[in-house]
Amino acid sequence: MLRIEHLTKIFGEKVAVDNLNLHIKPGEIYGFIGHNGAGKTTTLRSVVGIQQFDSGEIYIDGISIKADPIACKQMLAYIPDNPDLYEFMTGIKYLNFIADIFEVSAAQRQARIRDYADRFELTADLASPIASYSHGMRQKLAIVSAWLHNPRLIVMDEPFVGLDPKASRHLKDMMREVCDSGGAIFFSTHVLEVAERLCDKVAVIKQGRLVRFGTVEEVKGDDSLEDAFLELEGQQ
Amino acid sequence: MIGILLKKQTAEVWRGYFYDAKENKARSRFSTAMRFVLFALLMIGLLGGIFTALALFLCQPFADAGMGWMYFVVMGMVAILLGAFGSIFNGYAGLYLAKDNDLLFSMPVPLNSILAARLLNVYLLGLMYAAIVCAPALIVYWVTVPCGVSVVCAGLLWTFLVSAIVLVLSCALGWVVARISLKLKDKGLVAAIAAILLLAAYWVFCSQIYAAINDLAINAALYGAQVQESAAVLYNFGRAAEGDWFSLLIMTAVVGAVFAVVWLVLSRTFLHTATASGAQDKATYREKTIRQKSPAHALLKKELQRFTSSVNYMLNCGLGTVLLPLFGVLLLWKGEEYVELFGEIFAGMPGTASILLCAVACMLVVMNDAASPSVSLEGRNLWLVRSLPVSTWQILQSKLHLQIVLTAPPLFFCSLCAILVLRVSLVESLLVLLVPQLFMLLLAHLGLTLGLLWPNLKWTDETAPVKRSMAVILTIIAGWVCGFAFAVIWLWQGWHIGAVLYLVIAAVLAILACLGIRLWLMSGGCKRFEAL
Repeated sequence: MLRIEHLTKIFGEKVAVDNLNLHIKPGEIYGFIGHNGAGKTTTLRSVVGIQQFDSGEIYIDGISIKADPIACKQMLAYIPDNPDLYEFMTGIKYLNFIADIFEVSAAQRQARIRDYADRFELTADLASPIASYSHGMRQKLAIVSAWLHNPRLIVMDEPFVGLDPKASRHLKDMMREVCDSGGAIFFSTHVLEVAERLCDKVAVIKQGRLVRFGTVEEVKGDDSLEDAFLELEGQQ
Repeated sequence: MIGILLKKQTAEVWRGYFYDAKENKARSRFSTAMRFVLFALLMIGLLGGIFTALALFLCQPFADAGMGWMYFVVMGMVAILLGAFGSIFNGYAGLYLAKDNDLLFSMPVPLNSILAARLLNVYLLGLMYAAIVCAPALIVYWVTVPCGVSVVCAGLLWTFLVSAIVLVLSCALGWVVARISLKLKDKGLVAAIAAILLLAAYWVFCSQIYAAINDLAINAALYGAQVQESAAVLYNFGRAAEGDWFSLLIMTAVVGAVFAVVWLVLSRTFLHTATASGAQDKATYREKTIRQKSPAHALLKKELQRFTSSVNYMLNCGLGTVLLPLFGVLLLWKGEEYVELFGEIFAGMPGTASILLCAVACMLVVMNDAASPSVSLEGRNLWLVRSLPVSTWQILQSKLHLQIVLTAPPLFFCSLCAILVLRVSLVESLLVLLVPQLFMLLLAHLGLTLGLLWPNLKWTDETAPVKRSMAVILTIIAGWVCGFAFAVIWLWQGWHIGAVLYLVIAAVLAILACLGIRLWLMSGGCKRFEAL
């Protein structure tokens, strides 16, 4: 579903991502962990085609993001760490805008909006301007919009930040549903307990380099994921 | 504390001059210096030149009549109008709607310091605009009426007084808009009403100003006596610039007292207004039948929603949408008189009326420059549009289409009115319809190009991209220069070839320029947008 080959991104003197290779198969929930500034967000932004990279290749379902970014973007959805949405729109206008762009039919979008917005208890607020939304509500709206076009790959940067426990639970369920239907999830998180319980595989990035990856069991060994991560970071 | 806050705000205003966001590094000293030189040339050379011409026209007659004070009243009013026009919403946005409200209010910073820093920022910008009028007015006066150091010092202090009046007006009007806005559910309604009132006032002002100035110059003594008798404040305002220190003292006291009242009101209501301004009444969602639209349509709709949601954006980049039909109506009403007048004045130059009406329409088209700040307005939302499965060119096209949708229909109506009044041949009529539309297309492409060349995505105050950005300033100036050149070249030599051929040449040049810019936008422009 997602293949990253020798990805390198340099900002001035700083190598943000250094020769990173990663392969995510359909049906996998892949966690991406690393300390602040390790290169997680740069990698995720490169994957979804909003960050140009210096070398390497990224393939979504076999299609290069460089060669055909539109075909790739059609298959994926992205939720950034801080969802700055269009504040001049209402929630429903924003969802319709996204649905129009992804060419989701009227009937499909109506059913999906009803379903996902109800799950996140957002339906009553859909007519309100996004400017009046709390951080959590914006995050929920970003999640609903990401699921609207039934993407095959969903890329999320810290998706659980700002969500209440109930919404977090719904998101986890929805992530599993995507994978069960043949899609894949690639997300970054600092909450290692979530990664340990939710992910099929995890990758640990440090100073732009992938230092360990594989199933959760392979990465953590006999320790907890937190212990394994801290050991890798050299803090213990 | 005020110093730190002011430094932050000033750094934001001038950030683009010192820092290259694209390269993520500081600009070289040479690059920074060149940017300031260019800015100075535009402000002093162009705008200053216009007001120098006005000062030269007015100063001598008033000075000869011994009424220098009246000259300063007129020039001072022009400076105040220039500074205050359009500042209602700038004051409102700058004082209350800054994006860093939450951050600053959560810090141990006295509210009065935040307010004072924002007021100082408004003041400094007002001072800059006021100085563009006041400086030539004073210099022309000092050259015309030889005077001593005392008069020069008083004149300089008078400039600060004028900018203080601009500040008081901006803040007072901004506060009124904020209060009304809080009372209404639909803030767009406030914007629309205020914009229409402003436009009406502006239209009346523009249509009367030249006649009024001429009338004033001819009847200076009569009006002067009336003002002196019945409007002591105006009299003292003018006398202050002439070097009357007592008048300067009185005016300082008056402006100071009014400012104290404004400060008192603003400081007492600042937090409430600033924190309530973002609040909206909760609307109830009811599921409706939706029609699927194409991605291109959705992108254009998004641009239109952004435009109509922002008073600043509408007022600074969409005035032409209202002014063009108004001009059309004016043509239907008084157009025949104008055409006759042109015929008499330019008797040996047939076709001048067509060219001049086209030129005026082009000048009004310049008031619509929505494409220019549209790239910068993406701001923190840039990730969103770039993550969508649409081509970069489609995104840029939606920004071009915004300007076209806002301008083409009212421009068509305006040109149609001009044709009805001109009563020229079919070919000339079609060209009168076509040339302003081509100019509009050229301006949209140029504005978008400049927006890509000078993007500002890190703004906290919306006025930065829509009013103060280099892209917007250059677009307006380039548009006016083109429109002005179109008329001047005709009057100079162009009339020899006749109106039809002249319009054909103008159309061909506009098409070629437009195509050239469009080709760059489709390649280099897209790459620039992707690299932002």
